[in-house]
Amino acid sequence: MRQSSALPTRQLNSQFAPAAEKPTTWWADALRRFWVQRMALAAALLLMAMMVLALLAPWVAPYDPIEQFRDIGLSTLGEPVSPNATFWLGTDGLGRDLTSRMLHGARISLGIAITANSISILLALLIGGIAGFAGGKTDFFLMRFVDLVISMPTFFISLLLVVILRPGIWVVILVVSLFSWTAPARVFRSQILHVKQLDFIHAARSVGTAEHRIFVRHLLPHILPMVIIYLALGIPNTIFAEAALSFLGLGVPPPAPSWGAMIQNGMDYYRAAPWIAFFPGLAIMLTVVCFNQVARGLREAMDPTRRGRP
Amino acid sequence: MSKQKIDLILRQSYFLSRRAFLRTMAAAGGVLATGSLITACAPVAPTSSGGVAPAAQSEQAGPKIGGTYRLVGTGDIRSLDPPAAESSEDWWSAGMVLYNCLFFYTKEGAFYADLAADFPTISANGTVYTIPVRQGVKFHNGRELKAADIKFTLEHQLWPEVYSWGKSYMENMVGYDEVIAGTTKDVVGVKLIDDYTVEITLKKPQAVFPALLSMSMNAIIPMQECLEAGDKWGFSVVIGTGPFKFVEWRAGEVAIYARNPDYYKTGLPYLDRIELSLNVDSSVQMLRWENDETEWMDNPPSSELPRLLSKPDLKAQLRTSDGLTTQRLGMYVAKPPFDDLRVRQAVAMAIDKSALVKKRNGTVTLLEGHFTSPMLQYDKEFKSQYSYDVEKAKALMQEAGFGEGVKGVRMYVALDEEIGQLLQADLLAIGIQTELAVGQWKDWRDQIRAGEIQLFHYSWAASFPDAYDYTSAWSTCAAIETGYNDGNYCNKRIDVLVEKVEALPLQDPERIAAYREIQDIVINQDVAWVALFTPQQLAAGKSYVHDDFVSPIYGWPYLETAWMEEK
Repeated sequence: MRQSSALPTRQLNSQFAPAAEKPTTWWADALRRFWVQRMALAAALLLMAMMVLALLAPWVAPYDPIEQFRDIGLSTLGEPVSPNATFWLGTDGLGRDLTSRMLHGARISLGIAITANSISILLALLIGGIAGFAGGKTDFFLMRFVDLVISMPTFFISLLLVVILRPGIWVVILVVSLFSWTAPARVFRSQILHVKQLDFIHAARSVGTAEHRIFVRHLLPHILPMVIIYLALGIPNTIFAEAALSFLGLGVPPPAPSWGAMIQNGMDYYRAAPWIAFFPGLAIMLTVVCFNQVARGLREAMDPTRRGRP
Repeated sequence: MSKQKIDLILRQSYFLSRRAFLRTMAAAGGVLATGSLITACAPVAPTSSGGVAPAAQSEQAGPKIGGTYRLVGTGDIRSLDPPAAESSEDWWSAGMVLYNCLFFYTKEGAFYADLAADFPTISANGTVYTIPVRQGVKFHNGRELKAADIKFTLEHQLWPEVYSWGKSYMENMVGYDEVIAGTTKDVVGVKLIDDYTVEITLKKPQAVFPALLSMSMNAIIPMQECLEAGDKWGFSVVIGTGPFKFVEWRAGEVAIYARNPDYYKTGLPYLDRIELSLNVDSSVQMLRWENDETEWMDNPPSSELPRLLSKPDLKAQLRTSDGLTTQRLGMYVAKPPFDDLRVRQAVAMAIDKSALVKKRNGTVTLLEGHFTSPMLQYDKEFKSQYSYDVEKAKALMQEAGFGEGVKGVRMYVALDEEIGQLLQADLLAIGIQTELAVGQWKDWRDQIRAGEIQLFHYSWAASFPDAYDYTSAWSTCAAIETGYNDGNYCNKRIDVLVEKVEALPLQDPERIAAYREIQDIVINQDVAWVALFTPQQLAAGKSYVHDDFVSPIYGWPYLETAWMEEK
């Protein structure tokens, strides 16, 4: 009985479906639209290459990043040596190979940026999601809390926290993520406020679906594209935050390399050995541009109003 | 001791005033110089800045009155009250520009009577100093200096409500304790004999006491004017007897001083005006110096030194002098692992001092002991028993039960993080993993003294070349409480030796031998710290300026006799 009734329906659907269009998932459609954006695609590939290099740093870096070549890595007057066949990007003020420090620095800088931003987005999702979904007093108090955090001079509080807790990778991750979740939390909340008014949510509620299940199964998937976009958009900010802390000497403690700390170390040599600050600066700039391009591409690709269009 | 003998000792010895200043290593980090590399600016060259031909020609014409001398400083002025002046900018202003002391030093390092009319007469038991005051000296407001101003100066800085970095140096004066406790404002050990004679009584003989009177916190201030000015004293009211008069200080921006036409040294100074720009970043200082926007830049950045040294025209304008600064790595000896002598020996053997010298562009001298060459007690034959040997150091660590290494050791390194990272790498090579604590010494000192930070890279600049300063402040058990013995190092033999020999004349062979023994105890027997290197004072001047030589004490220029050509 079920088989006989299914066949006419399928036949009926096929009569109205466009003959040339293949059925496709939302993800496949988004991927297709991302694929055609040359700039975003190139940025994504470059980022992937950087991440692969960062992950493989212990194997691909020519030297130990903290090894000081006090003989060949410094001139007779103690100056850093410029890029050459032995040290491709030159050495820093202590005779350390900049190529190796750049690669290992990428692990730390990107690692901190991705981890801190992920924590921040999770916090935003949690607080913005609960506020938007629960509404009422919960929404009111949570949003006032967001207002409070936004009104704080976050960078200075971050500096204070780092000083109190002592600089370290996890402290940097903590302070960077603690103050960067507020803007996405507001966006996620407003999106949830919108989605929870839609018919399918009312339908789910009317058939007795539990509230937490509605939140997890029906609401979250609808804001997932936005979450992904914010993940990409937020990383440049966290890279800047880490670089700023390191630049002020409050980031990753020496001798571990991070791009921000390398720029700070290079400041004293900006005339005598400009390459020390130039290469990490270039890396930060490229990474930030790439993440911004990828975020722009994702926004275009995941825009529901553009579904099915090139 | 006879007056003649004391005079002889004072005149023969190159002993400068003492000042313990742990001026976070921002100063030390940049204090770089060399005798061998910077031959064109030898410290003893008194009149010329180098071999620039036009300057040499004009110099033959002799000093000229006039000109504005511009300096740049990285910091601000805290106060121009001598006892409170402790950063480079105000310390120099108080110590060498606006005020005079009873005694001071010539540019060659000879000790001389400045506001004192002569050297002191000393009683037979060595405790009573009678000092004649120079007559006819006028303060900047025209009032004549009297002995009462001397007494007031010595008392005022000890008052509890007055901040002074150097109070404890004067603790040997009778009556010091009562004033410090706040029970009286009168130091009973300082008496006025007449308008031009002061008598100072000490608790016990102190060979270096006259040198203490040359320290900037004892620069003579006018009693009546200071009391009348109240809170304005040292800020908007600044009156001394020095070669230049206070004109204006705009906090964080500039301090301006003008020529004192009534200076007691007739004919001096030559310069019309001094402009000291404040809070100027070192890289900006360099640009201003190269653009002829300043006549003096203290401590060129180390990253710029190779360039300065490699260009003859720039090198010729550098000024340098022998320094009294030592840089050393201290250890907190009252807690593991550095309570174990073998670990301290291993640390001493782990440090590659030659790398530190190279990092400093070869402009510093490696130290074996902790006395520098101008000191009376300096012994060039002295050698540390712990030369650089990583394998032996590792063996010692193994023997001490730290074969697996030590983790979590915190090391303080002022503002010179590169030196810190060099030390960090050397220590890691023998298994000691360190975490750097970087910043101002005052911010970390409590943790250092509590042993939470167990290694500390200190710089110490003595202000007179005698081991008393180093020893009393760093090495005695008493200095744990009252001095800078932050590593809690105590060997009672040192206290006994210091107590005994300070009653002897300055150059007594027994006194010199005792201090050399102390050096051996500290460096070789107990390894209380590792002596690293001694930098010289270095600054960048201008070829059209003459006789602005760098002071070994202050690291800034003598301007009393400086003069400049028309540009």
